[in-house]
Order: sequence, then structure tokens, then C-alpha cells
Amino acid sequence: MFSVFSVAFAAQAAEAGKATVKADPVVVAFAIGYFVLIIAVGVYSRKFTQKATDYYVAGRSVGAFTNGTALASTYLSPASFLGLPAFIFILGYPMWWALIGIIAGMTIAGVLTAGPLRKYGPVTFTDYYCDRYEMPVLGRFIAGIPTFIAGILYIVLSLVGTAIFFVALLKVNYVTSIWIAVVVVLLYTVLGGMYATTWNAMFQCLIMVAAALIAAFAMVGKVGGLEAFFHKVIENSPKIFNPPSAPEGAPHPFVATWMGVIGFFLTWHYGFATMPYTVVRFFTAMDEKTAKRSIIWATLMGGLLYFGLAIIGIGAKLIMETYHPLAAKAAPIAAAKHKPLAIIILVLIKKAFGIGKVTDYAMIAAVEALRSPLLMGILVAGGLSIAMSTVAGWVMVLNALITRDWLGKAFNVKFVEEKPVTAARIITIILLVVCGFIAMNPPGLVLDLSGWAFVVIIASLGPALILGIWWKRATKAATIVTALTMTPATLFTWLYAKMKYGKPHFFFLNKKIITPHQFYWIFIGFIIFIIVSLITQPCSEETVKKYCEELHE
Amino acid sequence: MFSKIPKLFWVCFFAIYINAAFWWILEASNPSLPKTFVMGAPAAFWYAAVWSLVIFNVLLAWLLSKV
Repeated sequence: MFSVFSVAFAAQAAEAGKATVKADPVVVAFAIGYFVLIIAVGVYSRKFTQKATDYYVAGRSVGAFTNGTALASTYLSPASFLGLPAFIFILGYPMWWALIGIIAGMTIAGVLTAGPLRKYGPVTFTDYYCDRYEMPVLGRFIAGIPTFIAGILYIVLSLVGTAIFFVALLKVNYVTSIWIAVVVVLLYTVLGGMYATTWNAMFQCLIMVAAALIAAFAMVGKVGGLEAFFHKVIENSPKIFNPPSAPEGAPHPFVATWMGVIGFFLTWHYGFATMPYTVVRFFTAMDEKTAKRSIIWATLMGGLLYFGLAIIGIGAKLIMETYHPLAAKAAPIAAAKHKPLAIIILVLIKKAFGIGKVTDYAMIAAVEALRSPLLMGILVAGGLSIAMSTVAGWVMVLNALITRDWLGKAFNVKFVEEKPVTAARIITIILLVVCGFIAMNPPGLVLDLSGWAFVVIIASLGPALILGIWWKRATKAATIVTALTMTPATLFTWLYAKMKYGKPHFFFLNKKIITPHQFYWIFIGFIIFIIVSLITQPCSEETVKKYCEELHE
Repeated sequence: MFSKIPKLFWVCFFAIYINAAFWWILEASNPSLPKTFVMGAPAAFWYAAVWSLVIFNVLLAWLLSKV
């Protein structure tokens, strides 16, 4: 039983300058089992990958359950799994609304983009922009450049997330961890392309949902049942369930106004319908109906995952402060610094491992406090699942973008036209190796910028994606103007708020206003798109008819 | 404008925001509600509120898949 104190012992050992303890055999067994499963799927799916459409969109043959579960695991990044418990116990109950925003966004995506995009049947994300807005080459870059930047940021972030699980739970050093993650993802994406990515994402979804639910129930059980759990949580954090209007005050300044709560809700809400790594999943479905039905499974699985994570988040502070092995050591420091004990525990752990952010260790520390090797094993499988599915999802988007869209369609490189699958495999290797090198020593800003990546895609590419399907007046000029204005505007304001006030959630001109991730640009992007569309030349009648009429028949 | 969007979609679309706004207004006017236990059940108000929305959205996704 004592070996479950892995993180804590590693932290203490590192501080004392001793060698770190070995990983728990149960945890190692779970990790090995997980790797065997996903590599086997990669090898098995190789025989299905003969043509370029097999590699990019799994032959458009994926059923609703597989596609829906793959959607959920690809969309939900390690940020959801690693840091969410900390965000919930720091920001409190209002943060739950951000989770509900994601779930509600899935529902909306079902009709707004999933059905029509599958009916149209493009191969890559930029195909739609090129065809709908009649810019066969320019569209590859207008939609491709923000996608490329966001993709690199997410892959690096997810590799770091994967490495944190390796370092903290499997006792592998950080650089080795990054390269193990790169090699494993390479093995299955190179071999099986979108088939392997999709089937693995399905298994990864089931594992991560099971991990979150089992950990949540174990946490409630440890405290003595649901009622005792809620009472003790309120006792430990009296403000945790306070909404912004509570007279005693909100749990955190970011959620002290309704604009903060609604801002978090909306930022996450619209992402699902427009993010490239979810949109391409609509292309892999068997047909339009399957694409829409896959949303039901994504909503259900996302809901179950957040059900577990929210309970873990609510209880994480109480559990860590009551049961974590480092609590006794952290208590005098917390008292001297007037900081919550749970935060000091996380600071000590982060200090020992030296990578990521303090909040990245919240999930690991909370489950570790339960002192069960079995739970830690389940956690490692769930954590690796959520991180690797996001890496693989983005890798598939970027390899199609670089290989087919840029090298093949924009620059007419012959090798790509003659051997598309080989070219895609080579690009996948290059992409992952480059991201692996960045992740070895990632600048702090790269990890932070993933929040910006989310807003830039929604604000700069979202209006053209959604309105182009439903509005005849949507124009090429509006697509270009929106992308060219929203990309620098979101980046400047996000960075300005981050540099000047320390966090990107303050309105960049006034620290008193909370605007999570500068979310207002989403609405400004839509307004600019509509205004420019109304004053510029619409696309040809043929194109408008194809997208705004035939797709809906 | 947007005439091709199915009517059911508009119903579901507005239902999502009306529902969320309903809970926000309810909380804003009764700030202690999120930590109030409902009818002695071992679950607080926020628990019921937030998770009813997950079930609600799964149902909406199912309805919309029929369009």
C-alpha cells in the first residue's frame, strides 16, 4: 500500500537530493496494458489504409458510437483532465457552467455543422473554405494558417500533459517521457492513419470516462457518502458553491461577475462547432444521419466525463488537505504564507518535478490522496488516453493540411499526388518530431497560448464556417477580412491582458472587467463577417445553391 | 436569411440559452440556492441544476439527429 505515495515520496526524495522511488507495479501494468492496446489497434488498422481517403477520413465508414466517442476524447484535451479539478476548487461552482457550455455546444454543432458538412463530404478542413468561397489556393492559407498555429500549440501542450503522467506516476524522466509519447502516437497514426486514430480515440474515451467516474465515486466513498461529502466540502470551502451574486462573495474574482461566468460558458460553448479537430470528425462518419447521431454519444460521454471531473474538482481540496501525504509538511508553509493548504501541496509537487504548471498536478494529487494503486493505475490509463487522443486528432488535421492542402493542392508537389499516403506518413513523422523537440523545453507562453488558440479559431474561422452553410450572402471578402482582422486582434488583446495583468481573462483595457480569453471577439467576428458580407459581392449562384440549398434538401 | 435552418433547431437553440439563463437568473436572485439541499436529498441544488442540463442536452441532440 505504501507505494501509492509515489508523487509525495518523489517530491520528498527530490528535495532531499535522493534518488526517486520506483513506479508502482500496478500503475506500470495499467500503462503497459494501455500501450499494447493502442499499438495493436494501429497495427490492425493498417490493412484498412490503402487509399488517401482511408488515411485522411477513415474511408468515411465510421459508425455513430465510434465517431461520437472519438469526438469526445479528441475534443477534450489534457487540460480538462489534469487541471480541471484545480480550476474547479479555485473558481468554484461557477466553473461548472463552462463544462455545461461545452456539452450544449455539442448539441448545437449537431445541426449547425455536423450534418451539412458530412453531406458535402470534404476531405480536409480547408476544402470547405476553398470551395464555398471560391478561392482554391488562398482558402488553403486563410483557413490553414490559424489552424496550423493552433494545432502546433495543442500538440505541444498535449505532449507535455502526457509527459506529466509519465514523470509523476511512472517515474520516467521528462525528456524520455516526451519521446515515448511521440513514438507511441507515431506508431499508430503512421500505421493506421484516421482508422487507427478513430478506433483508438473510441477506446481512449471509454477509458478516460471510466477513470473519472471511478475516481469520483472513490472520493465520495472515502469521505463517507454523498451527503457527508457535500457537507464536508462546504465546511472546507464555504464559498465554493457561491454564484457571483452571493453577499459573502464569489470563490474567485474571475467568477465574481456574471460576465465572467457567462464568458467562460460561451468561449467553450462555440468551440465544438468550429474547431478543426472536431469538424474533421464529421467527415469520417458514414453519412449525414450518422454524423448527427454521433453528437448524441459525444454529448453523453462528455457529460459523464465532466460528471466525474466536477465531483473530483469539488472534493479535490478537501481530499488533498485531509489525506495527502504531503499535507503535514505543507501545513506550516500554508499557515506562514496564508495560502490554501491544497495549493501549497501542489506547489511542493510541482517543485519536485519542475515541469508544467502548479494546477497540472491537481488531478494526480487528488487521486493520490485516496491511496489506492488500482486507482492510480486507472488514472494513468485515463490521463494518457485523453492526452494522446488530442495529440493524434491534431496530428491528423495538420498532416492533411500540410500534405494534401499545401504541398499537393497549393504547390502541386508531384510526390504528394503520386504517393499521398506515403507523403502523409512522412509529414506525420516530421510534425511529431518537431513538436517533440518544442515540448522538450517548452516556453511558458506556448503552454498558455492554447487558450488563445481556441478563441482565434472560433472568431477568425467560425463565422465563415457556420454562416457559409446557412446564409446565401456570406462572401469571400468577409471570410478574408474576418480571418485577417480577428487573428491579430485576438492575439494582441490576449497577450496584452496576460502581460499587463498577469492573466488573459481580464478585459485588456480594464482589469475590473472579466472577459475570459477575450471571448467578446467571437461576437465581433460574426458582426464583422455579416457587415462585410452585406457590402461585398456574393459568391456565384451555383456555389450558393450548392451550399445554402442542396445541402439542406 | 437562414430560412433553411429547421424550425426544430431554432426551438432547441433557444431552449439551451433560455434554460441556462433561467438558472442564472434564479441563482442571481437566490444566491444561497447553489448550496441548498433539496427536500432532504443528499444532493445540493446546483447538482440538480447543472446535471439536468446535461440530460437536457443529450435529449436535444437526439431530437436534432432526427431533423
